[in-house]
Amino acid sequence: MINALPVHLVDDDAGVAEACRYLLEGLDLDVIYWSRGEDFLAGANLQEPAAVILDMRMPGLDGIAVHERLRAGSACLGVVILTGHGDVDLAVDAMKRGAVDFLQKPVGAEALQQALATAFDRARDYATHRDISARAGQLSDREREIARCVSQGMTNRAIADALHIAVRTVEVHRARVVEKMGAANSAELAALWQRID
Amino acid sequence: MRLRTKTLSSSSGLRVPHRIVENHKAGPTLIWNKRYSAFAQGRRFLRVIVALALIGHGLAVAQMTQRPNQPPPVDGGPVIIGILAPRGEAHALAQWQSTLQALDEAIPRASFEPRALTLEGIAEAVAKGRIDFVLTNPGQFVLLGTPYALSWLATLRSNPADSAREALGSVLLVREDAPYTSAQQLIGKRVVAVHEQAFGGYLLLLPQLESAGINPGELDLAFLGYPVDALLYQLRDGQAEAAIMPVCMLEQMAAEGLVAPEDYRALMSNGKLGGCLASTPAYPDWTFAALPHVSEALTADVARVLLDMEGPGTTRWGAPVSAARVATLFDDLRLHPLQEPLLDRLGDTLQRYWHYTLFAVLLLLGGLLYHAWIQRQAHRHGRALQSTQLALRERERELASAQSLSVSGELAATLAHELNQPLAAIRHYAEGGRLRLERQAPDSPLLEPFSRIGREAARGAGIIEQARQWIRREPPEIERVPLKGLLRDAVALAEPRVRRLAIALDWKVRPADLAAQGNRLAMEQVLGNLINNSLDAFEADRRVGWIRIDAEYDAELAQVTIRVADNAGGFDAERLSQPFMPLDSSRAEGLGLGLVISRRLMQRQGGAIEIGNHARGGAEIRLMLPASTEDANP
Repeated sequence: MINALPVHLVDDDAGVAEACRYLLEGLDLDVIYWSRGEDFLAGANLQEPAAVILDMRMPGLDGIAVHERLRAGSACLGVVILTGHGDVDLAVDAMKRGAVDFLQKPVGAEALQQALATAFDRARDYATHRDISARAGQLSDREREIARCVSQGMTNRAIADALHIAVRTVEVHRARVVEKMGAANSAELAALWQRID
Repeated sequence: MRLRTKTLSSSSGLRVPHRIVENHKAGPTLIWNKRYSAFAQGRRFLRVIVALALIGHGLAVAQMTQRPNQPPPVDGGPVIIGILAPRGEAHALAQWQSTLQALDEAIPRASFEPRALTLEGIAEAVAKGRIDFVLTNPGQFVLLGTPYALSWLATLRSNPADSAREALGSVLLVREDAPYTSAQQLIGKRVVAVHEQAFGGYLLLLPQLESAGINPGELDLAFLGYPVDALLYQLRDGQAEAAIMPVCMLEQMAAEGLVAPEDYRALMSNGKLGGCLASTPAYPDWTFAALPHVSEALTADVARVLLDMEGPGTTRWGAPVSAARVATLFDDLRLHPLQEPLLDRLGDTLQRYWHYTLFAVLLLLGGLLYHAWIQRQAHRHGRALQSTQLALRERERELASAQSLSVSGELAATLAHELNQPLAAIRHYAEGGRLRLERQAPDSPLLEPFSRIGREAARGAGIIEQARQWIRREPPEIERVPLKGLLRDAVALAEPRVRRLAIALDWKVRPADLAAQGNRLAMEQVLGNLINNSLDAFEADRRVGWIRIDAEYDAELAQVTIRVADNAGGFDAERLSQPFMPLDSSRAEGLGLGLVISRRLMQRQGGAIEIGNHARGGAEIRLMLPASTEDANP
């Protein structure tokens, strides 16, 4: 799989998990297996972008509970829920919580591959968002104002008028914001800022 | 003391004379036939019962009939002769004047005093020993003679044939112009007689009536008492259709110029008796008798005087004639004094010990009433119990079927899940294998079988899913569930097991009218599962303890919490970590589905279940449901 990220597999049924790992490795994916939700939450690096396949029905923390904790911890993980039974209510509920997909066992390679591709994208989005937010956190208040104005497509003149400062001052701030946010130019800055604002 | 229902001293006999006289004066209104006309023993028994009912009065009667303390012999004092006076005192005195005169003359040492009496008067006087001699008809003599040991001195010879053997009889008279030709035609008609115990009258005629197929009860009988003349006057005046009279009474009255004999004729006529109309055979005539307290000398003297009386215009007496025919007649009528029927003797005994009898009767009555009351109570109670039992059994059946549906559903769900896992593994391996093979040997003939393995596994899983969907039931109907009734019924259903295991099962609902939004049957099922889980735990450990169920309102969450707690030891840590895993029971039998089913039932009602232990060494399970805000009494 191109653009692959690691995959956490959380399932209490070792037999099924082993088979699933065999399938995932057939797709050239890195698989990290956890037999308990608690172990996964405690041991995995949740800030590293990755996908997680969560079995719904587990003793202790079940799939829903683990998912809930991941959300609370702002993890950079794309979540795919696996269940024995396709319960519509459960599926809707899981999707509302931000799961990328809700798959019913036994799942085929293709469906799994598609879900994981989405999960990778989601994980990367989370990571990007997290990075941009981190960079934005380094901006001063004035820089933040100017970044917001740029993202709205305002010219330097318009920004200067709006903020009652000199155009030159706007230009200096603007160059620093682009640099701090790691953007190539003002257009890229606008795109980045729109994702977090 | 004895109840003489058959003699003239009977209770009725003692009570009636004044009334008879009164009624005669006031007009013939007293109708006796209803109570006294039939002498069948059945009636007699009825009389015993009536006597028991009127037992207070019976005592008085019994005292009156008590055998008297005999007064001393009367030599020197007045000698009283009781005389039956069918036609009144004056007539009686006139009739027996010659006899009295002869006695006075022949026995100067005694002063004889006649006393005219009615039938009852004579009976009472004899019973109390108030008289010394008695002059009465043979019927009464037979009735009184034996019980009071009367001495039979002489029999009257008054008829033209001058035979004491053919003297008395009865005649049933009707008016000459009346349409009656047989006694049967008198049924329902008014017939008058002196008294039901009058010998030369009703008593003598009775067998004739009965042999003619007439039940005296069918006649409109009226007993008018003495004097006999009144009967004939009523007949003459059309107040009666027939009169039962002594023979020769008509002829005698005719001779006295009181009535015209040709205006009357006899029914059931047996030919004439001594020239008089008669309806019966002749019976011996009047009898002169002495009471036992009279001295033998006086008795002998009187007897001699009577037998010696001679001359025109005087009454003639002969040697006493056997009263066998009279006795036979009485036997026919079941009236003989020596032949007390068993029931009468029973009646006597009952009356003699009347206070015991009264007590026994009251006891019996009370017992009967109590018995009836108990039976009624038992019946009513039994019916209520039965309907409660039926309702409970019906509920039990419903619950059992719901539970078995839940169990089968849960088993199917578990089976589906457990089968799904290996199918998932198969599919994963097949797909994983195929992916690898595609890369290493894209032309391999094994690629197709790998694909097929994966597809077949998916197909199998699809079938299971279909079956699971099919088993899934409609969500339960949500209704208002009053918790008091719910807990009461749930506890009642568990009652037999609770009692057998000697567990103290208490429950409380606060506030009392608390109600939840849920499904009643599902809640009963859940509570049943929880109670049974507790009982299982008690039973497994062979211990005795308590189960407590509390329902409370949580105002903050607007929900109802039902707490089921016991002291059976609680759940172990492993069980608590995964309480809802099926097929993992800590008990020997059963599938451990109780909690799984309970959770599913609670979830489907929009409620929840929490499982834990409390500090005092037992399980505590909490059921949560939305509270019902509906008014309890809409």
